[in-house]
Amino acid sequence: MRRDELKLPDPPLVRRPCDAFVCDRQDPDGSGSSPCAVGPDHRGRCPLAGHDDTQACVPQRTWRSKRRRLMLKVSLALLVVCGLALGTPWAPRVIRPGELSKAHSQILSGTLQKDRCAACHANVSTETWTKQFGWAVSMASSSGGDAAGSMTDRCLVCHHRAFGGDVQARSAHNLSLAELEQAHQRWMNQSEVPLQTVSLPRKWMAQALIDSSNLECNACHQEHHGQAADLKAITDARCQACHKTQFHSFANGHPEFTDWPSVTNRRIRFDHNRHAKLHYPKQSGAPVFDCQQCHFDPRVGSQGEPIIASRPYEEACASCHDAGLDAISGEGIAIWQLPTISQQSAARLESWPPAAIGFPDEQVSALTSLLVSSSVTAPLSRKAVDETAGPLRDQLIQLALGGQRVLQDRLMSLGMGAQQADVFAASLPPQLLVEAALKWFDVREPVAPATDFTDPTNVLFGGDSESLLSGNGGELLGSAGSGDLLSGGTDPLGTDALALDPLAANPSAESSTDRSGESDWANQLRQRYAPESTQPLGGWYRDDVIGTITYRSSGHADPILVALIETMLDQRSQGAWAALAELPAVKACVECHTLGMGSNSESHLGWASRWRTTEVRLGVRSLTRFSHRPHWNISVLRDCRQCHAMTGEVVPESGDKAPVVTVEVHADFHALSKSACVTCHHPDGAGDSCTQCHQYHASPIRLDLDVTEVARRARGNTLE
Amino acid sequence: MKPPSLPPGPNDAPVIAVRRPERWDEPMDPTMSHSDIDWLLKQPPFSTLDPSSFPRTIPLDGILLNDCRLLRVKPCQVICRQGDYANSAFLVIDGSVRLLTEGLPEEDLGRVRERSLSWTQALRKLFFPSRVPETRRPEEITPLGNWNNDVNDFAPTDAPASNAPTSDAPVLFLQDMDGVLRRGQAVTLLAGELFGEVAAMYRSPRTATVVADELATLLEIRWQGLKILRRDRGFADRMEQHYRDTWLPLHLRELPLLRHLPESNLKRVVANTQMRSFGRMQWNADYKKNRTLTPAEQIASEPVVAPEGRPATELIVVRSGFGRVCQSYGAGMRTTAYLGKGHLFGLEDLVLSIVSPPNHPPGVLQHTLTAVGFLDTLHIPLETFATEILPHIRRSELPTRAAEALVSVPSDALPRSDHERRRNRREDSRTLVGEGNRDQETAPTGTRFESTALQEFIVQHRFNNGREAMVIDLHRCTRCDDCLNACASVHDGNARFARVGETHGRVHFVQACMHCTDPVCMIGCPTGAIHRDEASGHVRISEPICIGCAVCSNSCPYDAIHMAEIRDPQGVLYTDAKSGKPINKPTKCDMCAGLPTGPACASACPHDALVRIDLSESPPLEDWLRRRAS
Amino acid sequence: MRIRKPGSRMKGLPRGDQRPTVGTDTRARWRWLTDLWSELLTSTSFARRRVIATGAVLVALLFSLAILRVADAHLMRTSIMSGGILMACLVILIAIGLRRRLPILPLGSVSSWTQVHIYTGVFACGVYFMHVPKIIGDGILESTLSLLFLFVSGSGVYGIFASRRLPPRLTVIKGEHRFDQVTWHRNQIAIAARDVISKAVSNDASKSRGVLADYYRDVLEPFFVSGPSVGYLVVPNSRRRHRLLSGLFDRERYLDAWGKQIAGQLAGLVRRRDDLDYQFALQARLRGWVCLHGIASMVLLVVAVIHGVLAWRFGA
Repeated sequence: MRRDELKLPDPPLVRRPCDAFVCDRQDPDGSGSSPCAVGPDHRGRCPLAGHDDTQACVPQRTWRSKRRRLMLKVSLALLVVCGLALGTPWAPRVIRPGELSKAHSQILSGTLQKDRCAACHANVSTETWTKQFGWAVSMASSSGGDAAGSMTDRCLVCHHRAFGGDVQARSAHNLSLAELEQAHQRWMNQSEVPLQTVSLPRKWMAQALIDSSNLECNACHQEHHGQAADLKAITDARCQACHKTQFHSFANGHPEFTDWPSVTNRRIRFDHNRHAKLHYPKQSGAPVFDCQQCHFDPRVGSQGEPIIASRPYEEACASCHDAGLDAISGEGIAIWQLPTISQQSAARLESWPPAAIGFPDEQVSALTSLLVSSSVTAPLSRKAVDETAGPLRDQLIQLALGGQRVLQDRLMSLGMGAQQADVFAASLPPQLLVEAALKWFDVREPVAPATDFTDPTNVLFGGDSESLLSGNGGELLGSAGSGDLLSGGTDPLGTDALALDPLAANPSAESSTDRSGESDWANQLRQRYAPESTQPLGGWYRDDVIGTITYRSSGHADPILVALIETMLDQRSQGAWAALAELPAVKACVECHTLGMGSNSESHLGWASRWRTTEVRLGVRSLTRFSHRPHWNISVLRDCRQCHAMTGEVVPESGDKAPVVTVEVHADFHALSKSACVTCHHPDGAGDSCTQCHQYHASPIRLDLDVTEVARRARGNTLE
Repeated sequence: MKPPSLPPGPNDAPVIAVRRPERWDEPMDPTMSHSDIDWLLKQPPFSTLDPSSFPRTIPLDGILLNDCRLLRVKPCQVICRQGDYANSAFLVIDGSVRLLTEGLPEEDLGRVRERSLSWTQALRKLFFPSRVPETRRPEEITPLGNWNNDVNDFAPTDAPASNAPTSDAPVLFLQDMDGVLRRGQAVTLLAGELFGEVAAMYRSPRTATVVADELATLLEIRWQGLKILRRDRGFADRMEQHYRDTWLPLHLRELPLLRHLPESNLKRVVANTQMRSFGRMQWNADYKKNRTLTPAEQIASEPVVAPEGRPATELIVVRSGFGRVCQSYGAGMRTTAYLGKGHLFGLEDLVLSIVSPPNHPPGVLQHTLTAVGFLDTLHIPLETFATEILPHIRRSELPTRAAEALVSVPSDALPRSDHERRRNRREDSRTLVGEGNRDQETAPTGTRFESTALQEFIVQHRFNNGREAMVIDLHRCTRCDDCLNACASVHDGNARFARVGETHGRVHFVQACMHCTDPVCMIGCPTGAIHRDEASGHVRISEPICIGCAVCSNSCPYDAIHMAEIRDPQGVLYTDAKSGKPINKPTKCDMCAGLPTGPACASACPHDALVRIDLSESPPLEDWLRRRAS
Repeated sequence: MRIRKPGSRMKGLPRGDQRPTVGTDTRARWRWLTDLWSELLTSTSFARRRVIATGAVLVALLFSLAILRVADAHLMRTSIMSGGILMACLVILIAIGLRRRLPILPLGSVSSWTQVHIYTGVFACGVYFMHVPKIIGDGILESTLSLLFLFVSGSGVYGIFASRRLPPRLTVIKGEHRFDQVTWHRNQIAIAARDVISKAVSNDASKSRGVLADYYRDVLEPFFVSGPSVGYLVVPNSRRRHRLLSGLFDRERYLDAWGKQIAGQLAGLVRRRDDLDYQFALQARLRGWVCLHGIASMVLLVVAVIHGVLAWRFGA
C-alpha cells in the first residue's frame, strides 16, 4: 500500500529554535516558506496580527519555553515554601531532624516547640538565630540564662549530679589524666599477653583528633534518632578510639584477668577447702557442702543480684557454730576479781572479806586492774596487789552507791563509746553490786570464818583456781547442755548433736533434789551459785567463793563482748588487747573475725564495716561491672564450681589466730581466667562488646537528675 | 531553501536604503595605482596578452587593478604555505623565490588559531541575543569607506585591507632557511614564472611552501581574475605547459608509489604522462538534476574514464575531483571504492598484465572508473610504468594480488635485470628501517568502506566530499535538539543548520556545511566573499563584500547554505537603495569560528550522538561506528 | 581500539592534533592525563569506557567507606564528612545543567559531562546510603530531602535506560519529526485526509464515495483532528491503528477500484498519523523525564543546602 502514500509538504525549517514561540502556519503550497519571514516575536505575536489577520497565525509556545516557564513557577513556589517553612514559628517543627529519645522528649514535652531546640542547642540564641535564619521572635524567648556554653554544659544542667562537677564530666571516663595514666600503667604491668598495637593511621588519628580532657557528651550520645533509640549504644571501635593499646576483641587481645579472686580484705577467716573436706563430712548425716547455702540470697526476686558475699551468721553458720560458741562462753568473764591478800595488808584496809585473806596472790586479773586503775598491765608483785586492793574496794563501793551512772562514766573514761557504755551499764544490775559490797566489805556483820571451813570446797578455796576450773571443765559443758534443755525446746539447737552429750547427768540429779523434802531447797540455795544451770542465756552474777563479779556472754555477737573488744582494740596498745585476748570467749570471736587489723588502709573504717563479712569499698570508682544474674539464668552455671573452682588442698591450721593476721587473697580458689568467659562471650554467643562488662563513666551513673532543673524544664519556663 | 519571495512584513514597514555591493567594490589591493598598472602591462606575460579576448565589462587593466596586488617580499619571507587553501596565484615579476615541497614543521610555518572571542564577549553574546532573526550591524553588510562603482576611475581608496579575504595572512619569516634548504629539495622560480595557480584553480590546498629567496616583487592574482585571464589562449597554454614543467614532477613525486624513483626515470614519466579532465567543474549543477535518479541511472550518467573489461593500458592518478570505482554486479554496478586526490586506479590490473607471459592475453581492467561530477586525472602509459616505475616499487606497496604475481614470474619476464632489482630491494629495506611504518601502506587505490551499502550511499549523495560533515547516530540521539539550540545560541539566535538530512540505517547525515574537499559553492562567487580559511581550511563567508547573489547557495549540492534577509538590531530590514529589494546574505555553518569553544553542535550533544567528521576517507567514520557497535 | 591515522600527505590539511599546542610546561606535565581523558572520551569503545568508569566508581566507594569507618571509630562526625562529599557530588551533578546552558564557553563537551554526571550520580547514591541512618529520614525536612534524593536518583536511572532504549525505537519509524512541529505535521495529515475525502466525495462517477464519506465522518475525522489520548502517550500501542485499518479494509468490498485507491491513501495517512503519534509519545517521554529530573534536582539542591546549613549550625 506504500505506493498509495501521498506526498506531504516538508515542515518549515526552524531557523530560530531558541525562540519562545514557533509559527503555526500550515502552508498549503508546501514550499515550506511562510509569508512572514520574521516569525512570531518574543511575546508570541504574529507580525501579521495587526495588519492582515486573515494571514495571521497563532504562534505555538515551544517545548523549550514551556519548560522554562515551569522551572520558573516551581522555583517561585519553592521560594514561598522555604519562606513559610523557615521564616515562621513553624520552623522548628519543620527542621527537627527526628524524635528525641523517650526520657528527653518526656522532659521537654511541656515545653513549647520553639523552646525545645534552645533547651540543648546553645547557638540557637536570638542573635545567631536571627542572623542565620531571620526569625527573631520565635527564638527570642529560648535564649534564656544558659544561652552561653556548649551543648555539654546544657546536658550538665540536669546531669551534673552524676559527675564530680564539670571538669570530671568532660574528662575521659570522668577520670583525671593522672588517674588515667595510673590505670594504664597498672594495666600494662598486669597484662601478661603482649597487647597488639593497632595500625599507625588509627593511632595517629586517635592522638590527633581526640582531646581526652575535653570530651563532649554528643561525641557518643547522639540524639534525634527516635524514641526507641538507645543513647548509650556505642561500638567497640569507638570505645577503643583513644586507647593507646588496642586489641581486636575480647577473645583476641583482651588482657587476662589478674585481680580475681579479689584482693579485697575478707574478714571472715573461712577456709572453703577445710569446710568441704573436713568439717562437713564430720557432721552427722554429712550435709553436702553447697555454695548456695551461704552465698545465694533466697530473698532476691527475679531481677536482683542472686549472689551475695554471705548470708548472715544465723542462717549460714549458726547451725554448726552456736553450740561451740555457747560452750566457750560457758565460763563467764570475771570483770572484777578480788585478789587474796595477806593478813597484815588486809588489816591496813578498812575492811576486806576474810575469805580473801590468806596466802596472797601474785597478781590481779588484767581486766580488773584495767577497770580500777586504768593501767593495762596487771601488777606482778604482792606489793602491787596490795596497792590495788584498796582502790578496787573503793570502786566497788562507789559503784554500789552510784549505780549505773558511775559505771557508765568509768567505762567512757576507759574509752568506750557512749552507746556501748550505756548498753554495758544497763546490762549490769546495781543491786548485784550492792549485795556484793554489803557481803564483802560490811564490817558490822561479822563473819564466822571458822564455821565455813567444814565446807569441802573450802579446802580448795584460796587454792589455785585453775585446777578447779580445769576440774569442772567437762561438768561445765555438761551442765551447759542441761541448761539448754531447761531453757525449753524452743531453741533450734536443742536438736543439735552437741546437745545430746552423754555427760548430761544432771536431770537425774535434779529429780533427786525434787524428791528431797521442802526444807531441802534452802540448803540447795545455800550451796555455791551455779550459773551454768541458772544463767544459760548469759548475764551478770557474783561468785562469793572466788570473789568475782562475772559476765557470762550470750552466744554470737554479744553486745558486751563487742563493746569490750572494740574498746580494747581502739586502745591501740598490745597490752590492752592482751588483757582481753586470752579470754576464751574473745578467742572464739577472733577465730573467725579478722577485724581488718592487718591493713592500715582500713583502720579508718568504722567498726560497723569491720565486723562485716566483706569490706564495702566506698568511693572506689570502677570501670567494670559484673552481675551474676544473667549467668544465674543459665542452668549449667548455677553450679558455682563452673567458674569458681576450689584448689581442694587443705592447709594445716595455723595456731595463731590473732586478729592482726588478715586473709589477703583467697588461697583456696583457682584464679578465674578469661578463657572461662570466652567460651560463651564471643560475637555469636553471649556477645563480647566492651559495654557488656565495662562502663564508660567511672562513677556509676545513677540517673539522679537535678530535680528542680528537670521540673523547671518540664514546666517549660526556661527563663530565669 | 529558497529565500522568501514576498516583500517581508507589511509594506509600509520602515526600511534602510543601502547600495547593493557589486563586483570589484572591494579591490584586492586599494593601493594599486595607474603607474603600477601601466608598468605591469609592459611586463611579460601581460604585454603579450590580447586585450580583445576579454569581455568589455571586465577589461584586462580592470583585472590588474582589482583582482591583483603587488607584493614586495624580503628574503626568507614566507609567501604561501603548504596546506593553505588558496584563492590566488602568484606571478614572479622580479627577483626569485624558493619553492619547498618538503613538508616543513607547522611551527616554522607559524600556523595559529584564529583570534577568538573572550569569555565575557561570548557570554554577552549568549545572554543577550537579538530577538530578531539575522541582525547585522551596518558595518557588517557593506565594505567601509567610499567605494567606487566606476571601473575606470582608479582613485585609490583607503579601505582597510582587513576586509579582503586573503590579505590578513601574517607576514612570516622562515628561520634557518639554509637548514631547510639542505633538508628538502627546493625549486627556484625566476621572474615571469607563475605559481599557486593550481591550488587557486582546483580549489586544492597549496602543495608547497614558497619562500622569498631574495628581495622580490610578486603579483598576486586572485582566482576570479585568473579565470578571466585564461580566456587568452596563449596564457592558458603557457599555464598548461608551465604546469607540466614545474608541478607535474612535484605532484608525481608526492605519490607514495614514485617516492623512490630516480630523477631520470621521473623525467621520462613526466614526458609521457597525459593530463585529462572529465565532467564539468560545475558538477553540482548536473548533480542537482540527477540526484533524484536511481543509483544505477546516476552511474550511467557519469562520464566513464576507464571502462571495465578493457585492457589495462595505463595507470590513472587522480589529480583532483572524485572518481567512482565500480564493478558490474548482477544487473547493476556496485561501487567498490571512491577515489579522491592522489588516489590511483588500475594499478593491480596493470601489474598483472605486465607480469603475465607474452603469449598470454594482456590483463584487463576489473573495475570501471567514472567521474563523480568533476574528475581531473593523470595517465601514465603501460610501457612507461613497466620500464620506469615498476622496478622501483616495493612489493609491500602493491596490492596483494599484484605482489603475489610479481613474485611468481620468472625473472627474465621483467624488463629490468635481476641484480638491479635486488639492489633496489636492498635500498628499500634500508629505507624501510629508516622511515618506519608509514611506508608500509599499500598504494592509495581508493577509499573503501566495510559496508558496501554505506559506501554506495555516501557516494550517491556525494558525502565523500565532506571534511567536516555533521553525522548523527540515531540510535543514541534522543532528539533533544540540544545541538540545534547550542548552534542557535552561539549564533545570536539563528541556527546555522536544521536537523534534517539523509538517513542510512542509524547514521544520519545532517544538512550542515561539510566544508567540502571540493567546495563547489566557491565556483562563481564574483567577489571571493566565500573562501577557505587558510589555517583551518573551513569555508567562510566574509559578509561585508558579499553581494548576496545567492550563487553559492544555489550551487551547494547539499542545501547547506541559506540565504537570509538581514535586519538591523532593531529588526528594521535593510534594502537596496536603488532597487528597494531586500539585502540577502548567505548563512551557513562556520564551525563556530572565533568562538572560545569548537563547533557548538558537537560539544553540546549529551549522548555522543553527533560528530563533525571527515568523510573523504573511511577510517574516521568506521572507527566512530565501531566504538558504538560494541 | 583503533587510533585514527594521521591524514595522508597528499591532502595536507592542517588537523587539530597537528597544530602546535601553545602551553606552559605545567600543562605539558599534565599532558598525559588530558591525553588519557580525551582518549577515554573519543576513541575508547563505549563498552570499555563503561567498564573502566564503573571500576573507578567502585574503588571510590570502597575508599570513602573505609575513610568513614575509620573516622567513625575515632568519634568524628562522619555525617559531616559524608554530607560534604554528597554536597560536592550534588554540585557536580547540577553543574551539567549549567554547562548545557553555556554552549558558548569551552567547558568540555557535554557528552563527557554526561559520563561524569552518570557515574558521579552512582557514586552519590552509594555515599547517600553511608550518610543516612535510615533510607527515608524522619523529621519533615529530612524526609522530604531523602524522598527528593531518591526520586532524582530514580529518575536518573530511568533516564539512562530511556535515552539508550528509546532512540532505536524512534529510528525504525520513518521520518524525523521535530517535537515542536508535531502538531504542524498532525494538521498537515488532517488536511491531506480532508482533501482526499473531498476528492472522493466530489467524484460523482464513483459509487463508493458514500461508504468512504460515512467512514470518514464517523471514524477517521475524529481520529485525524484530535490528538492522541493520554493512555496512548503513556503506553503507545498499535491497537488503535489496527482498529482503523481493519475498519477500512472491511469496507473495501463495497468499493470499486477508484474507491480502493482512495481507501489506500487514507490507510497510508492513518499509518503516518499513527507513526507520528508514536514518535510524539516517545519524544515526549524522552523530554519529560529530563524536565522532571532537572526541576527535582534544583529543588533537591536548595533543600540540601538548607539541611547542610542546619546540620552545620546545630551539629555542635
